[in-house]
Amino acid sequence: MERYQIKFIEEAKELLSSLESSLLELEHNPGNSSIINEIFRIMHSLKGSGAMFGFTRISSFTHDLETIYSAIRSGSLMVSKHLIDISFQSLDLIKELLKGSETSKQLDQLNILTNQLQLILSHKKDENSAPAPVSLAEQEDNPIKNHQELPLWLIRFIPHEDILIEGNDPLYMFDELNTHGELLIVPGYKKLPELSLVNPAKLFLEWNMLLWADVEKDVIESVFLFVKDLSALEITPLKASYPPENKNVRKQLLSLLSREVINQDGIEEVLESNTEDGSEQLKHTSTIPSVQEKIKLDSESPDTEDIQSEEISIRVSSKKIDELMNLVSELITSQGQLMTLTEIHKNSPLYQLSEKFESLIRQLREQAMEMSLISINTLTVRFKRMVRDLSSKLNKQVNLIIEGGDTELDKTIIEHLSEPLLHIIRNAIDHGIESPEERENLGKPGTGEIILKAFYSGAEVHLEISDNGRGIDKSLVHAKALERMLIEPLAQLSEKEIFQLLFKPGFSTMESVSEYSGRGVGMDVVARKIAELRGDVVISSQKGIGTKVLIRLPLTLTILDGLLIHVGETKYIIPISSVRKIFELKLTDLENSFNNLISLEGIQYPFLVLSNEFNEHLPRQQKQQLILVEYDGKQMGLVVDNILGERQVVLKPLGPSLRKNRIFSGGSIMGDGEIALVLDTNKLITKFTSNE
Amino acid sequence: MSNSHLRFSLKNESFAVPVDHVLKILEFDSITPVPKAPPFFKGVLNWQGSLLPVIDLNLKLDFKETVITKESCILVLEIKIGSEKTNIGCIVDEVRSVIPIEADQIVSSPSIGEKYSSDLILGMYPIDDQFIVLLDFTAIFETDESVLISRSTFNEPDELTIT
Repeated sequence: MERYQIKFIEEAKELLSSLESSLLELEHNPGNSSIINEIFRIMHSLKGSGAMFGFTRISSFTHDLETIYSAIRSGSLMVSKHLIDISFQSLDLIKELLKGSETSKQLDQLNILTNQLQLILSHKKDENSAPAPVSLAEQEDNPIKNHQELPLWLIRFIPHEDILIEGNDPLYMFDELNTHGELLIVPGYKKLPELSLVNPAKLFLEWNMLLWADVEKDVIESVFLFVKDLSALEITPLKASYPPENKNVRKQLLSLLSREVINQDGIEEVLESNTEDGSEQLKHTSTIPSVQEKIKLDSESPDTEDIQSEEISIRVSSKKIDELMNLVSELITSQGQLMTLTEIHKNSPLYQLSEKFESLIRQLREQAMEMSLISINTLTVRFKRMVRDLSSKLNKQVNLIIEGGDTELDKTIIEHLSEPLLHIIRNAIDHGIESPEERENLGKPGTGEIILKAFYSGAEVHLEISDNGRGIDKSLVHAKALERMLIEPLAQLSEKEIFQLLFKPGFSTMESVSEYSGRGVGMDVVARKIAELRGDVVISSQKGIGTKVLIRLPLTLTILDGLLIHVGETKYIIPISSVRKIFELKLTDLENSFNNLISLEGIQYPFLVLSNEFNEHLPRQQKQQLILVEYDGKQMGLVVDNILGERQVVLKPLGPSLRKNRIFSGGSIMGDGEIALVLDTNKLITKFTSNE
Repeated sequence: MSNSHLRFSLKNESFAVPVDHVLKILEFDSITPVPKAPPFFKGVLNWQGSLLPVIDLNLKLDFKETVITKESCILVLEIKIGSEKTNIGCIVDEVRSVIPIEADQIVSSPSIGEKYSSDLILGMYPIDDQFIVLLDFTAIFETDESVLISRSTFNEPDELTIT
């Protein structure tokens, strides 16, 4: 049982998150019937499965909510801000209840909300007083099946006893018929012998069917193509009609079908009476096409989205994906070994096979990586919700715009990104966006804007969070940093450097501690979290105009394209993404360089001789390679003994004892089992160029 | 917890570590150096497809650097750094045997503290006519991190440097 409850909680969480996004949508399009339907559907499944797995409190509470949305659906209740607020609070409460431990505070809130819901319900209009604006939407769900007159076919199918032996299965045929339209089917048992005489390989049944479908007779015949010759098949057209919805009508039809001699007139008569019902329904709804049109016009997001065929997806636990990635990583390492062993005999078939494996593994890796990528959209519901709650609490008007939400990142990165991003957006609302009055006085539109823009840039993903609020006062930041003794009084800082001060621990420009952003994680934590993801973050701002935070992240954390180099006896990897150019130098060029600067193609670059730096001895070879690497607009040269070539490597962590080093981001196990450390060029460049 | 301990030696002195912490005893193999790391940090090793940091336990305990002989071994230990479980390799001079150690016979360390800091020692265990030193590996590697941090040429200070 426990297991099923966990399943339910998982499912409920998913339902709640789609409920959250639907409610946010509804707030913007209060009249959109498809959103209302979606909300109703979610609540309905929540209620149902909640009751099934013993979450009675959630179930009965959701029932009240469902009643309200059912009333909205039928048009007897209007969507209001109050209603949406209550819905959000209810949603939060259900989330709390799902955690399992019921506190008295939760129960109090449950009572309060239940009363509120009852109150709302008591305000609803008399059900009959208004036409149902949404009932049309129900019809849209199934426009062809239910409310259109369709040709009707009476089919009598008496298969030959041996069709099963020939490999035919009548069930497939019925399924196929059902795809053409609405099928009503009754089996006949009259040929069925006593049980003891039944030969399971033979078929003793026959069937009578009614099919409402806009198809020609030969289409129906073609379904029975392979059995037609041996079996008896009668297809008779009847008068076109509406497929019956009403249970009683269906029952009557089924009983008519089960007779040995089919009374065709009887069927048509029953359907005739059904048609009257149907037309009555139509009359009922036909009074409101204008309302429907209005809904269509009101809704910004057209319903066409729903029609698009949905991609089938399955749920896989992230642990399995991790395991898959681990295996792929191992495979890449083993393939490297195989390549090393077979490279010696390039003409052998083994080498060719190994090359083939390499290309297959590359594809496998790409697929596996794609699986572990998640779009940024998965985070945005949380952001929107937070913007909504916080801005109304602070009496500010804020619009969050997401651009490039379908940009995908490694799931581990996404998981760790949510908190820093929330913090940045929270800061923007709390400190950036002004109150509506203040904004209007400044000649800005009353509603502030926060834009979250995500896009690919080379092997990186960039996230840009910009707002059009009051911006950050550079001189205030500078003064504060001096006061806190974070900088030397005489230090000359560029604008960028001043803004980077905001990432220092304990730095806050707000005097008062606000509930939302003054406390808890500060920008220093944001910077650290991003750095842990091998990314970095930069702030730029213009006073009075707004602030922009730019986060740069690698696409994936585990696999990397690198340049394998030799320094002394040891091999290292330099990430290709940071390499700009490679120059061949003579040792004398280095010796003649002045002030650790070297002139290449007319430009002076600072450089670092790695063998000098790492092994503390001078380079031995006369020819040296200078690899020009770039980060953050700064370029520097790394002088190495030899370049061995490009390698795709799996980045392994160095472990907690070496995590804080500033030179290596990890290590990689090469084909021959040897380890090559991966240079963290970003940190290296930052450190080296700031020391200059 | 089992009372079995693995006995090993450093510079002719006997030490012991609970066998529960020992994942594997490896023969000494070539180690990939990590430039700019502290001297006791010998480098990393490919162990079961992941990187195993290896330290010279002699140097770590302020003895002289280990001279590699054919008796030299690397103990793969599972330790905790902060709240994180991790593996670390320790070079020792020789691995002796597995011995049972009765908890009630452990004595607190006498004043041999001059040789190495006594807060890295859980206690002494008398066996035959000598003492076995029970090392507190958690303590050793907790200080390990701080040692690494203090080397500012190599490590980041706790706060982010300004670029």
